[in-house]
Amino acid sequence: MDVVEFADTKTPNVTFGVATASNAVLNGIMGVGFDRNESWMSDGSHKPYPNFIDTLVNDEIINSHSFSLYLDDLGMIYP
Amino acid sequence: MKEVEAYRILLNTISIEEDGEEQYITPDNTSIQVLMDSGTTITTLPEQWFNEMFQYFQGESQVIDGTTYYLVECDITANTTGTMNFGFGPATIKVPYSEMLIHQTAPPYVYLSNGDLACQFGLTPAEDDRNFIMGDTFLRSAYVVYDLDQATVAIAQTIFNTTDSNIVEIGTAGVEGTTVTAAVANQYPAGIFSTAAPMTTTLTERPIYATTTTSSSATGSITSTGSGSGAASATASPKSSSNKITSMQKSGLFMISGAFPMILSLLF
Repeated sequence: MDVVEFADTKTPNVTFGVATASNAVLNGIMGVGFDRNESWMSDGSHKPYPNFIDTLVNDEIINSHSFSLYLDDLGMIYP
Repeated sequence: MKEVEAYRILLNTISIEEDGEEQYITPDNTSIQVLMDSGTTITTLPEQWFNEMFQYFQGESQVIDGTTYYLVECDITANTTGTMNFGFGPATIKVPYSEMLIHQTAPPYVYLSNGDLACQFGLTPAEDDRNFIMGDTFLRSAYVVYDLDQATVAIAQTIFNTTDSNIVEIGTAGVEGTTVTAAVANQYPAGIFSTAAPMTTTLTERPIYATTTTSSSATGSITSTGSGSGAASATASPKSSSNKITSMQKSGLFMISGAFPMILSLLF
């Protein structure tokens, strides 16, 4: 169980996976999709674990399972 | 009834707009299911629609180490303030051409056949007829609110580089303004399918979207961030990518654009 700090909020007891090897992915990934689409659900033998959004709601840090996304523009860097 | 499991909504129209003139890529009365996935860099669309736009921008494809890359001139925006417009029911998002490019930032550099440094096109053709994805190249131009409790996605046009802040709570009834109900998996046909109601270019009439049930309802409200940068990944099954990384972006490679104010700390 990990503590995730996001902006000025500390959320304890977050379930977070650790990747020890990768052949393609260069960054960490925070999944904020629906629980039933968690990758370990695909073999049908697991119940969903609370993801980061679930934990925020369960800990009453936020009140609903919703969030907004603002990526802003490219800020292009020319070589 | 099956439940919503992903941020999948219906895309009805794609058009190219320059100097006030709009040309539609999509035929009337058609839709596709698309996944609103910030974890995918390049937007993936049906091959025939992709081909039309790729040819319009005079793109060329190159195969590098077994992977096909779709390349265009980097100065696409030199002579125009054109946009690629995407219609989702009542909401239309206009993506400036400049956002539909990915610039190379590190060697080895790839060049077009005329010798110009290539940019990667912000679209790629789908490998099948079901997995269409609105990736970062589209999502940059949209401000998106994902509401899992209501099973809706709210979309609005991005205001780039904003410094103003206007924080609005998401109420228990969901997001005020334009929302699109998320589609249940396999609720709609695969590929490009016909919709019953005719669409008009004045954007006043749209097909009726089926509503979906959700597993829980929220109490209280949430504060949504109105401005500033920050990105969270809306996850979906990542597309598989081959082993070797080149400087070009492979579709499905996760990329965060914009500052990400998150500190991950581990406590035992």
